[in-house]
Amino acid sequence: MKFNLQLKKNQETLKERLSSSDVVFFEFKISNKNGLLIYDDPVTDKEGLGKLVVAPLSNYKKSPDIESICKHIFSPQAEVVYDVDTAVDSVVTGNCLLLIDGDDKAIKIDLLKYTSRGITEPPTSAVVKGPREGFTENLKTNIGLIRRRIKAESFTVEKITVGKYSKTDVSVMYLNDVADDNIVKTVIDRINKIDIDGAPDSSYIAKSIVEHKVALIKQVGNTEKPDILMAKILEGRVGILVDGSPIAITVPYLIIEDFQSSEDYFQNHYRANMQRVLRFISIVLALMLPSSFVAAQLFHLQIIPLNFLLTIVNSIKGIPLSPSFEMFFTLLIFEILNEASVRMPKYVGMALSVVGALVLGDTAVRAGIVSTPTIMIMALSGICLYTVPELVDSMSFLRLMYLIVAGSIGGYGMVLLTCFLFIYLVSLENFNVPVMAPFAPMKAADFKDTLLMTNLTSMKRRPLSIKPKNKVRMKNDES
Amino acid sequence: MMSPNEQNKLKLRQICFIFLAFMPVTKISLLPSVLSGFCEERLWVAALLGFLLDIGVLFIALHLYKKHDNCTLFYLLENKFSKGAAKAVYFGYGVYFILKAIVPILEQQDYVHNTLYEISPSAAVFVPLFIVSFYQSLKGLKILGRCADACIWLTGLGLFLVFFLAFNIVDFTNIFPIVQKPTYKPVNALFRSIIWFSDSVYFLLFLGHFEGEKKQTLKVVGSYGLASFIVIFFMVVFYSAFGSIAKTRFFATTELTIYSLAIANSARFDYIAIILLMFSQVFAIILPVYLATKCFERAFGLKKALIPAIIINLLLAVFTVVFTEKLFTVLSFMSNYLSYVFIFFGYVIPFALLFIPKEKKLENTSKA
Repeated sequence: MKFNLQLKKNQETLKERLSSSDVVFFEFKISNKNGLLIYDDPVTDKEGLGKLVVAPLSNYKKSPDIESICKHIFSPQAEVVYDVDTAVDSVVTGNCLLLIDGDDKAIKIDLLKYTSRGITEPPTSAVVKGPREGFTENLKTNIGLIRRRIKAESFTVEKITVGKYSKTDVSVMYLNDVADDNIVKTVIDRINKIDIDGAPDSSYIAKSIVEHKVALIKQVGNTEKPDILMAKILEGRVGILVDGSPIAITVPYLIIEDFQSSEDYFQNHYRANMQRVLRFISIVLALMLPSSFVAAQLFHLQIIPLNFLLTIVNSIKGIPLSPSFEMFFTLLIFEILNEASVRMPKYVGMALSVVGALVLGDTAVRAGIVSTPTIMIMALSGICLYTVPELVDSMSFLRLMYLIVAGSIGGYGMVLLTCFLFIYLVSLENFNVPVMAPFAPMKAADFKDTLLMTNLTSMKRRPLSIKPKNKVRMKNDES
Repeated sequence: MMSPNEQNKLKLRQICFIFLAFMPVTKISLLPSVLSGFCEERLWVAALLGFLLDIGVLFIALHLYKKHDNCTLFYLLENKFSKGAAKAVYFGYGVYFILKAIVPILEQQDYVHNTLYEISPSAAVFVPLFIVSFYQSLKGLKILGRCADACIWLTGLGLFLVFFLAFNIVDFTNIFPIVQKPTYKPVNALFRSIIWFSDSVYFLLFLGHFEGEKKQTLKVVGSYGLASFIVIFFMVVFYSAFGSIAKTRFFATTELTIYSLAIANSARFDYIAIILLMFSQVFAIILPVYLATKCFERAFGLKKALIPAIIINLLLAVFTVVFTEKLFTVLSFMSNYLSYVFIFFGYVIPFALLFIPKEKKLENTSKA
């Protein structure tokens, strides 16, 4: 729909379309003509509007027309719009619209200003050594944090709008001379195809772009830290930032990424290797310790060393629950406490710890409902799980599966479940990249940064598993 | 989504790893005591003869690869004889692979009951094995190749631990004298234990599913040779540890490790090795079941492996439940009556394939 030459008629049309109370229609005079400014009050930078638009126009002496005014106002992001639909769209996305009587065009000026919190250290990825900045909910700030770190010409940011109602800005960022073209194209195509009411968080985008909509493990990487996103982009991955979300998505995702911490690269690599192995052992313990204990008690008592067996026998004497139900009950309590501690206000946290640790734990043992080894094993499993926070969701579920299998079939069932999961995981691919790479399929060249890592300076090549266009990342690579 | 052809692509490395990771684990449980029962300290000679035959089959398969331009066995038989002949051979191989899977399945069943002291009903414990096997049957060769990529570490670490824990009970003088003994005994032992051998026949079914590489003969034969060497070395260690009573020591891996000083002083570290090897054994069982599924899929001209996968896994599950704790009866039946079947499909057919003349190039014909 085109604009009318009469400002009054345009005003009526736009008022009808933009009937929301937060949209301001500000009438004023430019030279000898009537002008109209339309903007969404809560998201417009009024100071900027005054200085960059209103002040220059108040001194405008010539007969005004849209093209010349567009050049006169001090904003690099001012452009002429020719139809009402685009104009309405620009106002609801936070732009300011300027119309003049006698002109069937308008000027859209980007004066968007959201209130947002400052840059702080993200609670989920705290480090002792290394950068402490975290992403915020403001997309521009987040892009700025990456741009500050990657000043290359080839660093590309592509903007896509997602959401029928939310019209959320999504930025896809990559190094166009490093990232695989097919992966970039697939990511952009899939985001463009998202048909959704709104995207309140990046997880909505993540769930929409993956190949397997239902999967046991996550299929995209995510981070709250710009230094991590930068490192992943430099490796050849594609980063996705969503306005309103402090969590960036990275693709393609490899499961090994979750065992890597940004701190590993900032400290001595021997120490980092120790920590990585520790994380791996912790996950195995978190997943299998409760189920192994149940299986051993129920089906394979003979494999428990005699001294340990005596301790167990003494502690389970008089416990009314079966080993599997006892462990399941303890797991349930643990999950409830965990859920409550996340949701509860912080000032109740201390009370929750007391109730959880003393009342439920200690009293349950004293009352003879659960045994001490069970509490100890579940506590250890719970702590171990949080050594790799990214895997908590899927591992909590898998722990339950292992517990059910161990309680019903025993140790061999656990072996079979592991084989089943293994077949499942090795067959899982996203963006044509298997999540279990570089282990299965094996990419020996990528072993320099997996469960064990070599010195940073000897990682001369980018991970081949994610198919980078440019494989070499250090100049002195002669191969 | 992967296309069917893509689903069945293997890397040459993965074929080598399939041999290295899956072949030894099926031969270090019961076979050492069976062979030592037949030919005592020369058990390794019998195994060596078997592996030499297997390597011969590998050479034949590699020759077919070069001679017939990396086409599948089915395509080769179809073009040289007829579709019916190809289907008949594939049907035969389907049955053969089912029979080949029975030995490791029952072996593992007994192994689990005896080593893990499993006390729960066999049906409950072993039927899930066929769920895993069924799941893999639908996934394709590519996924099996990836599993081999990972299992190579498990097998390697498991075997290392077994050798390490067995070290303190080994007395190598037990394997002497090697010569000055009748030669027929190892040959007879090989004939009676042939049901454990002929893993190299898997390679015939891999033809057309991998891209050729430089020095591929060396890589494939080398990996099979290395896997054979590991098994032979294991047998030497086993007999060195137990001498004349080796034939009564079933489940060699457990027997070798249980007397370790480390175990006596602290806890059962051997379970780490046992569990690691058990993972690889599961995949070693799945491999012939998967190949049987594929053979029946081709033999009956099916588009998907779903139906043969259900039937084969169901049959094997029923068989396993029915023959629980009948391992030695089944083994005795198979070695007495089915040895010729194993020789026919494991060695005679591959040898006969050698005489198929080189084909002329056919245009626009699928070689899959």
